[in-house]
Amino acid sequence: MIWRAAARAALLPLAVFAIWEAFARAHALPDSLSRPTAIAAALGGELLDGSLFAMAGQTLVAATAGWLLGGALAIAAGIAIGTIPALRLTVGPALELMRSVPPVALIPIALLAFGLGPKLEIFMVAFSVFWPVIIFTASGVGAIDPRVLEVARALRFSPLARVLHFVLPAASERIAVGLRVGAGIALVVAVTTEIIANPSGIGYGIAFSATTLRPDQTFADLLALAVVGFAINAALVGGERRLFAWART
Amino acid sequence: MGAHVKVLPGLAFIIVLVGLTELACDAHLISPAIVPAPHDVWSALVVGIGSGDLWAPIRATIAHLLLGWCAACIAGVALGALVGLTAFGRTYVAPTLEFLRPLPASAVAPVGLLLIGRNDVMIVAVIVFGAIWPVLLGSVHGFAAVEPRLRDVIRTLQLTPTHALRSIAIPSALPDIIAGARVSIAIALILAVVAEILASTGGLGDWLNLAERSYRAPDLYAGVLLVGLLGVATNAGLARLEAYLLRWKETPAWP
Amino acid sequence: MQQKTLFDTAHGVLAHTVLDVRNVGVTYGSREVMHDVSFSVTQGDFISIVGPSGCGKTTLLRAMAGLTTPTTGSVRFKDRDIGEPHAEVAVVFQDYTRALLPWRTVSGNIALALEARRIPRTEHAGRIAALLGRVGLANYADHFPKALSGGLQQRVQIARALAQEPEVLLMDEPFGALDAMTRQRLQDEILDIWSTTPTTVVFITHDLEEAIYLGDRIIVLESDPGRIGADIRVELPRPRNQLTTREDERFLAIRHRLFGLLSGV
Repeated sequence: MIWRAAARAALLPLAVFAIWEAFARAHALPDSLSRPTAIAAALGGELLDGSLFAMAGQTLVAATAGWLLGGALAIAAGIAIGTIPALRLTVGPALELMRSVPPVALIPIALLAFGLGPKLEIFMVAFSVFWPVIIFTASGVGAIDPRVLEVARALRFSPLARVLHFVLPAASERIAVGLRVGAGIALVVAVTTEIIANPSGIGYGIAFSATTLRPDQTFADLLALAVVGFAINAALVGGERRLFAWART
Repeated sequence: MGAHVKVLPGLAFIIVLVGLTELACDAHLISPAIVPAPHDVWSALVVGIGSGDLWAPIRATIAHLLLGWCAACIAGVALGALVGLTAFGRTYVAPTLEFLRPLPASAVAPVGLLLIGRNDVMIVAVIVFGAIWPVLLGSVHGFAAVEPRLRDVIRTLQLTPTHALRSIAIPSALPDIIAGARVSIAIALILAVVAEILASTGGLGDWLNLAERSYRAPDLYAGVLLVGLLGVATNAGLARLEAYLLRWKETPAWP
Repeated sequence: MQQKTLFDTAHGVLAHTVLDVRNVGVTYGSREVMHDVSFSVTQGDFISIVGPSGCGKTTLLRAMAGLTTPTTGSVRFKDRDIGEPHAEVAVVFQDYTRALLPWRTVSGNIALALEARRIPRTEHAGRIAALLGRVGLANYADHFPKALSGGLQQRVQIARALAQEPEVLLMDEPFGALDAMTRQRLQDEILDIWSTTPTTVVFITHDLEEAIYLGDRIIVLESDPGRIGADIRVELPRPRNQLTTREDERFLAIRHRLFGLLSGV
């Protein structure tokens, strides 16, 4: 059944490609455009010589590293804010202000600090992932029944033990949602950073192909990026569903 | 009085942070090339706006943003209606749109550069092609989710298709459309900056890029502040608009 | 208030048939949901159609409304086949909340029917006020449906249907989702409205007593597949009364007669 739906879904793109190809063969295209068969050839070439995997790998490694770094820091900070109301009151507004700056505007600043290279990208991803994760974590922690925490305190658990055995598990579903949102942002910020500043990854590949006027390669990399994004998103949604099936009763 | 007291700790924290940064810069604890002293940023802002150097980029970015976002919303709602209200659209078009949803919008920028070149048209085109997705997908969802019973009502009352679109489909889809539009304007701002950086023809993105290249940190931070301000202002504006358009939702339910 | 007596109805037989259900059959795939249902609705009548769940009552109503086309047979309204809904056949649905527009006020919801009929804006206020008065919603003109109780929301839907000035009012278990007291109040209201308006009402319900209380004529549907089990006239005096009519011998006699038909299924 899913095959039928997939086949129907593929009809539109296939029709678009066919018309595009037919048009390209009948008329001369401007230098900046390319035909589907040329794009497919470029894609095939990149797959065969491994450059596509290298680029995708660079993007994914940087995005994952940033996501883990930003996520871990944000979970710690979110737990602190969620459990200490005074802290939330003090630091909250500053956080609100900081998170309303679009990450892309900070790339030039990060460039000054880190120069070109993977550190720049990891920092940008970590910074951008920090915000959704801290917000979801703080909200998840804040929603814990206070009596649960009182019981933990009464049972003489150390603060660290309280966090590990009571706070984290209770807030874990919310945290997972924050991490998923963060993962989506991670890919987008990684690619954006690559387009503007970083000489590696798929984003850089697209920007480089565009500025060197290779339209077939540009569209091929764009398509590869779409597939990567789709795959990651599907994996995230599926993973979250399976991990938290118990919470959905 | 109570509400104002609550803001104090947050405000105090921010002031303390700014003060500490100022002190650290004076004591040369941090490099002013990376984190400039706050008073330098402030004077860069004031001087830039006063002399008009900063005004042109601000105006340009606002123009790009509004033009691109409005066009994206109109196109997004129109296409969303076509896809969401027709069985054909839902079966054959919606899946492709869902596939393209996770594609980072900024990837459109280099393609725009390739196809159009370095000019204002490219910047607005990139904004439109990137910012259309959230409002398009929101519209598709909103239009596809119109209450089935209302379809019966449309038929028994014999409403014309235009009348049904105006008085039932659009109001019904409006919450989803507006939610999409709010995400769209955030993306539009990001794309404006990215496209302006790539095009180098003006706007705040170009300003940031030039400031970074010439190591003018105070100017850079001033620009970043303005971009942040733009984001806050557009978000707040849309939130107000949303509250006004959807005020029927605020009615308390019976009893 | 006019009284509809048997005599009046007999008089009405000389008036014309407004809705004619002819050999209607509905099959979904391999399942026959409705089999050879035929009856005529005389103008001015109040007809109750009663049957257990799943007997196809809603299917029959949708066919009469023109919302679905029967697999076999046809429904004719004033000597024309109903293929699509007709402006003079109004429908009141059971799920009132979903049938109203939550973003329009009560007045706005009623106005929808006036807009559909291209009635000039200037006339809207007057007509809406009159309709609100008829259904007892005069104080709720500017409320949103969300803020109203179920009974009041259903009245809004009825008012909207009346705004169409319909020849026939089809009602699909309109009071099924309401509590008993509200139901009784609305039963009397609908009888009041019907007796003061030149309308024909076809009222679908699963409640036998409601069917007898309201109608001039009862059509009992059996299920599997849906078909007519009985079609009888109700000779109870009007106006009906919740207490006395329900204790009337003739009421109980009809109830006895039809009870077996319904519980046998």
